[in-house]
This record gives sequence, C-alpha cells and structure tokens, in this order.
Amino acid sequence: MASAQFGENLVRLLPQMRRFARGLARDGADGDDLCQATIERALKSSHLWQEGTRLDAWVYRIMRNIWIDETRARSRRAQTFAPEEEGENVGVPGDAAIEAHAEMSHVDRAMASLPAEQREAVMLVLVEGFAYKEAAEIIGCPMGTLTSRLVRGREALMKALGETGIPETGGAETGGMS
Amino acid sequence: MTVTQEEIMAYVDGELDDATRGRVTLAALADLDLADRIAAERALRERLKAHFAPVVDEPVPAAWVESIRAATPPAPVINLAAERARRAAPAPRWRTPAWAGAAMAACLAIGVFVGSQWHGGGQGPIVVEKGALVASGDLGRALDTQLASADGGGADGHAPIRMLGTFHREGGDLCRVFAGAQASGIACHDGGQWQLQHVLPGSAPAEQTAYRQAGSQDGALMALAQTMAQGDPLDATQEKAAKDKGWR
Repeated sequence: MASAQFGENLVRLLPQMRRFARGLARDGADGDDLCQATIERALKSSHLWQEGTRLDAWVYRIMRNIWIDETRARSRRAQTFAPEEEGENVGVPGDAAIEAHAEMSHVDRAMASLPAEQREAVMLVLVEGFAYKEAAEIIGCPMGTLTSRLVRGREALMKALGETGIPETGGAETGGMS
Repeated sequence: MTVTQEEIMAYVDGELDDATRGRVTLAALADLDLADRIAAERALRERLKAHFAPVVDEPVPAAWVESIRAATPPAPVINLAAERARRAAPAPRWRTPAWAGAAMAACLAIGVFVGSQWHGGGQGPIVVEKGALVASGDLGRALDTQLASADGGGADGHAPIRMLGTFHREGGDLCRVFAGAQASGIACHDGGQWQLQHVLPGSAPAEQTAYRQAGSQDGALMALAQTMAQGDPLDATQEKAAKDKGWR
C-alpha cells in the first residue's frame, strides 16, 4: 500500500495534474476523467515509483500514457463505426465536436487543432515548464523528436493565433526538423 | 550569422548553454527581425501559460483527495465509527500482536554492541554442512535459547543477536527470524539443525551506542517471513512451548 507521504505528495500535485489533463484532453470534463484515471493508476502502481525521483514527472507519464491509449482507442472506434464518406476525416477525432464549442477560446481552439504529439510537447514545456530532457523522458522519445514536435506545434499555434514573427520564407531554418 | 528556429525556441525556453545564449542575444541586438521572432515566441509561451494558469486555482474535487487518502495509510486521525468497525472486524492475519510486538522490539533493542560479538572460538556463526548453511556457535545458541518475546528479542551483552519472530513454514518446520551485527536472516529447524534460508549482511551500528535502531533489513526480513509462513506467528506462550520441546 502506498505510504501516507506518497498520498500527500499526490494530493499536492492535483491542481497541476488537472491543468495538464485539461490541455491534453481539450475539454474540462474529459480532462477530469483523465485526471481521475491517472490518480487510480498512480495509487495502484505506487510501488513502482522510486523514492528520490520526481513524482510529478512519474505521474505525468502515467497520465500521458492513459491519454494516448484512449486517443488511439477512440480513433479505432471512429474508424470502425464512421460511415465511409466520413472516414476520411478521422485522423484527428473529435474535431467537429471541438469546433462545435463556440465558447472555446482562441487558445483552446488553436491547441485543440494540434496533433496529439505536438500538443503534449507544447503542454509539457510551455505550460508545465519541464526542461526538454524531462519532457522527452515523460513522453519516452528522443530529445530531437521532442524539439521538432515543439517547433512544429509552435508554428501552428503562431499561425492560428495570429502572432507574427515567423516569416513565410523562414522555411530554410525549420526544414529538416521532422 | 544565422539563428535557427530551434535555437530561438530553446532561447525562449531557457535551454541554451551560456555561450550560445550570448551569441543569440548579440545577434538579436543587430537584427530586428530576429528580435521580433524571439519576442513572438516569448509572447506565445506567456500566453499559453497564462491561459492555463487559472486551472490550478480551481478547487480540486474532494472525491479525488478522499480516494487518495483512503488508499494511503492515514495520518492518525481517529474516526470513532471507523475505529469501532475496525475493532469489531477480525484482526488481519499479519497484524497479530506477536508480529507487531516483535517489530516494535526490533526497533529499540537495548544493548551495547562491540566488535567481537561472536565468541566461542574460531568457528563462525554460519558453517556449511552437507551443502546447507547451518547456524553454529553463538547464532546456533541464540536460535536455540533466545525468545523473540523477551525484551530486545533476547539479546544481551553476550549474545547480541535479536530474535524478531518465530513461525511455522509449509510442512510444519519452525523458523526463526534473527538479526545480528554480522548477519541477519531466517533459519528453519530441520534435522536437528538450524538451516539458514535467508542470510543478509548484519547491521552493525556505525557507532557504539546503548540504543540501536533496527536496520531496514528487519522490515525486509519480516516481509520475507510473511511470505514463508503458514498461519500466524507464534505468540509468547507458543514460542516458549516450542523452545521447551526443542523446536520440533
């Protein structure tokens, strides 16, 4: 059974776990479901956490893995059940539903339009403030993969949010990142 | 000089080493376009951060906190109803007073521990007989005579070995958990001998003090004992009776 100390540390992490969950899931209710699933799994596998390592990174990794599994499962369901003519658009499931939320802010919409892998990279580094190395470890990818996802994610966000700064001719500098 | 998009990003994220950081800063002073791009990256980062910041201030669902606290042993807050229910319920197998007492005794065994604890000539505490590790000398004597239920696990100035508990393993053999400065472990009585089932390095105190904290090994040994044991550990009366019958 997990120790009381583990439990209290987990409780302290809840607000920021919720923030990360909301960014990943693109929606408050889904984010809370994700957060709850993460809590359950963290408690169940608390014996796997190594004392002296960062609990937040460990918990984020759990959350991120649950979310990826769920995203893939949804994608499969969409491919299985969607009528054929809609099948073309299932790459990013839930987009239609996301866009239907008229009250979503610019930032939410821009984030929601990112591919999952770019969204998690952006959340971990820009919002949660992890170093590249830590973020790459949470995702389980090489640093180079993380930074190229970050570059592409940021470019897409800039475009969607109308920030200036990246010249159209800047392709030479970002080429070869993927 | 050229500054790549990746470098601009790393600059804003604080990921550049000092030399590269200085180079980018210098370049931005001379290149307004570069300065703009850095400012835009920074603005994006700030905007995202600010956008998600309020989530942290939302009250966390109480059910989450409750589920975590329910799954982790609570700080001692006494809930009378829960306490009554706990007392009414049958005690879990391994929470018997015998183990609790043994663990407690292990926490503060009294005795001065000195270098030459294993007296009795040249023979060490553990010998090999017919391929089995067998307790001998002081360890053999301690296993034969000391009771876990005695103060300090029966340790005294002559035989600074503590007995942490006694139990039956599958098949009925009696086994004893012991801890000493040179070795700790679990020995089972088989064929008139104490055969070592588990041996860990002892936990010699770094300094010679009258009070000695139980090593973390005590906990590991008790956990091992639980996996080996059949039924409850012996209580003080049973242990005494087992001793009188020669641990058979």
